Amino acid sequence: MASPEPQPRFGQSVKGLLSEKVSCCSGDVIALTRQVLKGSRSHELLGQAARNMVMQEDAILHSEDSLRKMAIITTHLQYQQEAIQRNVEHSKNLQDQLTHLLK
Amino acid sequence: MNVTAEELLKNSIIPPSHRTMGAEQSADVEHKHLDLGSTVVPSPVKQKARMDDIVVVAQGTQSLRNIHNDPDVIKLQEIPTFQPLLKGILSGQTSPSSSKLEKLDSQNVLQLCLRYQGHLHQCAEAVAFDQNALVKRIKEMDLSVEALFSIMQERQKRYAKYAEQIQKVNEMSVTLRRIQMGIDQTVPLMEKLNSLLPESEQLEPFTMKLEKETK
Repeated sequence: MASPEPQPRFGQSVKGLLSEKVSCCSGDVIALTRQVLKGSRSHELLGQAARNMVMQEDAILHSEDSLRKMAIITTHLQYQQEAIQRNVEHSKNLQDQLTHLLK
Repeated sequence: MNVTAEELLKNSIIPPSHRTMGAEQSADVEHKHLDLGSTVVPSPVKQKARMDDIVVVAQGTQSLRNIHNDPDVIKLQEIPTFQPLLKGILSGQTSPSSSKLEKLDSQNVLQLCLRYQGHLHQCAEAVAFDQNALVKRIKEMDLSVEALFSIMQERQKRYAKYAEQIQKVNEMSVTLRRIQMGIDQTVPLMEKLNSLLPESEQLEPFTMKLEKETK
């Protein structure tokens, strides 16, 4: 942390020196935090995780599509099930009809 | 006249106690004050000193105030003492006592920063771990959804075939009903016709039978 010695610049007021010191310190703190963030590799890890997630977006959309199709298929199956049930019941009547006809 | 101006200035500016200064000093002071006087009082030299121009500094007549009862003074005294922000730089001094300014202890700051860095790293790792677990689950979900979808599609196709075949029952019943209706309509007519025929050629009454031999 290079802090410039203020003695050579005694022409300035103490206020000027103070503001200069403050700006210097704040710059140093900013550099320090940047180094800490870079050293912790948090950005890289989180970036990688986000990229993986984005690649799954395609899979998620495909699944959603399949689920919607499945919903449609269930309605079809429902219709078919009802039709089969009705006709199975009707087949009994059919037997009676046939016997009646053949009498 | 110069003398009167000097006396005037002496009386007004220099307090009475300082009149015992050395001759040189007083002369210097007088010269200085004369210069001042020449700029401040541009009056003619022959002006006499009047009573109004003489200023006398004397002791005040105000009674002594008890300073410790004043609330402002008490508040001033309550302010804690503090060091200046930039220690080592005293205003007015050309070179400070020691060129060392107040700095932080580097080792401790380093430890602090390293600890913070480690904390951030751990947090990022935890989050990334959870995200990767989610990604795995999503992949599994996708596979299972696909499997289910294919099963359901097969089943739907099979049941469509069954339903289509079962519909034949319906058609059969419709046909049978039509047959029945037709027979019901035609049998009386046939019997009527049969009755009109001579008895030798009358056919037997019409019944539906199962033909066991269809040759």
